[in-house]
Amino acid sequence: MMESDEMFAVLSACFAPVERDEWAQLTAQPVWAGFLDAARRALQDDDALGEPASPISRARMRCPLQDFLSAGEVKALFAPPTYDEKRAFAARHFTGGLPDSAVPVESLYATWSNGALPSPFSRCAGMYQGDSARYMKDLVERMGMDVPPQFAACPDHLALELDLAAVLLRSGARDAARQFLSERLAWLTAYRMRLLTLGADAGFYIGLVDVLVGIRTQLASGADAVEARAGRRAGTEAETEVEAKAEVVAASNTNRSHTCI
Amino acid sequence: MSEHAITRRSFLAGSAGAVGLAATAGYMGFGAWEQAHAAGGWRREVTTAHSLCNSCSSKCGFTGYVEDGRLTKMIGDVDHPYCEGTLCARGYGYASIAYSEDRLTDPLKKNDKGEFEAISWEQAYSEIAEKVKAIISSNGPEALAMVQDPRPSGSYYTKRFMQALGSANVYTHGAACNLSKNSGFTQAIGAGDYASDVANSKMTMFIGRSYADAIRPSSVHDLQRARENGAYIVLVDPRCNNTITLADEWVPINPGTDLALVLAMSNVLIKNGLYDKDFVAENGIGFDEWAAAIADHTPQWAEGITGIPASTIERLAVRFAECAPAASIEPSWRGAFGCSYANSGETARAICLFNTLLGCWNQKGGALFLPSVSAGEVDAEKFPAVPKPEGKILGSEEYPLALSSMGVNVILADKAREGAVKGLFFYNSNMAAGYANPDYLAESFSNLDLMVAIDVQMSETCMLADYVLPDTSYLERLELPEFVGGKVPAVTLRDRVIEKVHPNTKPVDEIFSELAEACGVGEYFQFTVDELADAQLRTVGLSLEGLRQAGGTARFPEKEYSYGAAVKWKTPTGKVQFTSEACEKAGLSPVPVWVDPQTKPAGGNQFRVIGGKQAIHTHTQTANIEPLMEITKKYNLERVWMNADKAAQLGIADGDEVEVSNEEHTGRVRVKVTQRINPEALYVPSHYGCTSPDQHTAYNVGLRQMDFVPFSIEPGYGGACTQEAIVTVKKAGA
Repeated sequence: MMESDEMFAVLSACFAPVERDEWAQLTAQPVWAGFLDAARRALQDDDALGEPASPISRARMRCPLQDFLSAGEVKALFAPPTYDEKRAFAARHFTGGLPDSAVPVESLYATWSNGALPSPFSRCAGMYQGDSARYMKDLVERMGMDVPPQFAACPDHLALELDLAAVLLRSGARDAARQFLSERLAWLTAYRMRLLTLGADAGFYIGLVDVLVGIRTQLASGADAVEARAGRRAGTEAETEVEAKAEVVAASNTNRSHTCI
Repeated sequence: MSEHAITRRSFLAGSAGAVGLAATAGYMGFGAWEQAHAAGGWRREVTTAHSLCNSCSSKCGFTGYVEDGRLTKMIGDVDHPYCEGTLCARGYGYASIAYSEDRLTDPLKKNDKGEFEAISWEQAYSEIAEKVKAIISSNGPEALAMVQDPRPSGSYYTKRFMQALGSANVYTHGAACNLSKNSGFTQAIGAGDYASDVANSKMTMFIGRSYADAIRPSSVHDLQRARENGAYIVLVDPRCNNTITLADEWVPINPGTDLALVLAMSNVLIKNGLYDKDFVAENGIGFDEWAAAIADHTPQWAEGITGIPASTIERLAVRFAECAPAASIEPSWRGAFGCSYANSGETARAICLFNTLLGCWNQKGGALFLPSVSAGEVDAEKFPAVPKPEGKILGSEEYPLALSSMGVNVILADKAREGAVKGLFFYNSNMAAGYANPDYLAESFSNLDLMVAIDVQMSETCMLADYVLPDTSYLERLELPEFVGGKVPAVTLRDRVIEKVHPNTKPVDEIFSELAEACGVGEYFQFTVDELADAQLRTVGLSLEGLRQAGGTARFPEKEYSYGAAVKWKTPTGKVQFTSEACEKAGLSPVPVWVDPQTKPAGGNQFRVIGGKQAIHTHTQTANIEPLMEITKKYNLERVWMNADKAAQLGIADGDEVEVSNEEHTGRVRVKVTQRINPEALYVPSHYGCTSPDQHTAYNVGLRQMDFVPFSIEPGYGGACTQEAIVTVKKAGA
């Protein structure tokens, strides 16, 4: 059974330039089915991204993906693109400067800088290498790693954000992973709007983004529950978390509800 | 392989996919990170480098400050002759292009559906090279051409590339800028340009140029000094431009009639003996012929053409004579006679002759020929000379007066239609939107076998291309040294300020060197830009490292200008040519006389479209820069300007939406109603009407001047006739 860290690694590969063999392995069965199953569980995991659940609790998470995604998205996720289709999509949409560009980079959906590093155009929105990119670079380096050269322009590329989440989970830093995902995935609502303009081609990626938006919502409700139990922590980090949560709650209100028991 | 190997592979942590406890302890939430930076506790790596702004052709110097890899500050270079320590708004705003979401990030190829797709550099080079070779083999190298807006490295590499392929067809943007002016000047005085000593003048007249709108900081500083010194500053312009705050008089001339004004003022000086007879006798040739030819070009005659009262013309001419030789007509740039009308080249010629009547050449406060320095010969083994192509640049036969150093780029449209040109390259040039009628150009370029555009964002020209190659922004590259003329000439450097934002973009030197290699002429490109820059600097006693250490700009005080030096006229006759044999051969009058513009508004709801810069933009190049476009939107700068009396006649009020229309185009925009414009003119700012949806900020704001301009080329000189356009205007919905 695929664990959540692996699920994020697969999600990362979906948005990244990967080799033909790697994509073939990821989309072959049973790996892809395992990924979809992991996504399904993550969307209804009350202790989102917590310790691996017991078999019985897993069995309880039985709502199908159809309860969380549209029929078209489910269909698209069950039939992932071939390597050539994926590459063709990237050549039209994951390159910059075109009318149909939809590069999955957080900076393009945020204000460039809120003051961490002021410049003549700090308040501009939608530019590469915004604060989220600087943060990602700093964070990766603080954790003893390097931003790979292909992501030099955009350390806040969705593929790298998801990859870092996978690394955190795999390394046992589950609280950090939760906070990281809550903070970092907020821009996906705006990114989803961008993908929607691309037409049918984008169904697969919209489905993936909806999975991520759903996981983030789930994280928010899970965090509420955890916090209710543990009470507030003092200090800067706690305040930050509260701010992040306020944002998450606001976002969750806009997400469509489902009736899973 | 473990079943998890593929799902645990990480871009960051490799095949292990995980990190240790110490590493996870390094985790920090975003809020804490922001606070650490805000508190100043974060270790910041600060670097600086000298560069040259790219927001307009002045290329002012500045030092860029970079903190943790990101541009944070720009300080104008006090040593740079054009900058004098001040950058304009464009300079600051344009820097954001490095980080723009509209940056091209990969080489692109247009597919069968007309959509662009990212491809590898290898594929781009090999396919372009294959087509280049096919064109050369079937039509010869003269069927290839290049259009570029000159920048330090671009000028060198584009020319070298085309010459290596055997083609002389290298064009600047000039035919849509200052070709007619520079070519007309050359016919009269043997030089393409001069500089008015505005700061020390007693009187300077500007014709269609506005220092406060098309800013070069040093020019504005000069004008301020002129005011302090009591100079009389006159603006001849259909539009009362923003320089008026530093000027004494606005002469609201009918657009396209500047030639008549200059000829009439000349007539006044000659008729009244108010010109410098000794200077003319000593330096001129053909004066009597010209004097006879313009004997009837009186102020009264000119009043009927220019709309300027004869008394004003007479007064200005007499005042010029009183102020001479510390007076001149300023050389202008694009505005009124760079490329605008069928009489632009002749206007330029007449202006030089008028200044000659003043005897102001090389006189304090007059019109000066300032010194410049250029790189000498470099090591021929390392940097081998490229054999000069056999053919002449296309267009030189049809437009013999056009300077071959610029070329008549607009003729490429007709050459593409005829099939004489099969392959076109564009570097840093948005010809398709700004040089001539966009529909005509697009239709012409559709006949090409190969069209390649190199740019930082998807311009209208890129949209038409088969291949688009992504350039680095000017902040991300070193270029060849830039030599700047002036009272004290200088050399200055555009150095790399920030690392490449997008790893898959390339600077112009690499693109053309690698393309040359693919085309089989790589032997002329076996050096780096650093090596060539250093070699060029060593020919003038400097070095690349030395110039960097010196702060990026070095002056040559030993070459300092001094007033009063006799001029060696580099004309065929060695004199100021009141008569020109070349002009006569080209079918023009041997002496400059009145020439009608091609078109004239008939009154009523007809207007002539005039363009012109606003202080925050450069042509169409800066419209997609968000901080600059914000200013446009805040002040409604996209509006067209209409004379208030005319507007009242037409029932149009300030802020109304109007429909502007002619056979070429129809568009709607809001109008600014003002007395600050001649009744014949409709001012359409030159920056708007972008039709490239990829430019998210610029797209669909305002009107594009060139949409209304029929395709036409100025006889003899080759200018693009950018203001030979008549439109009708009515209130939208009326």
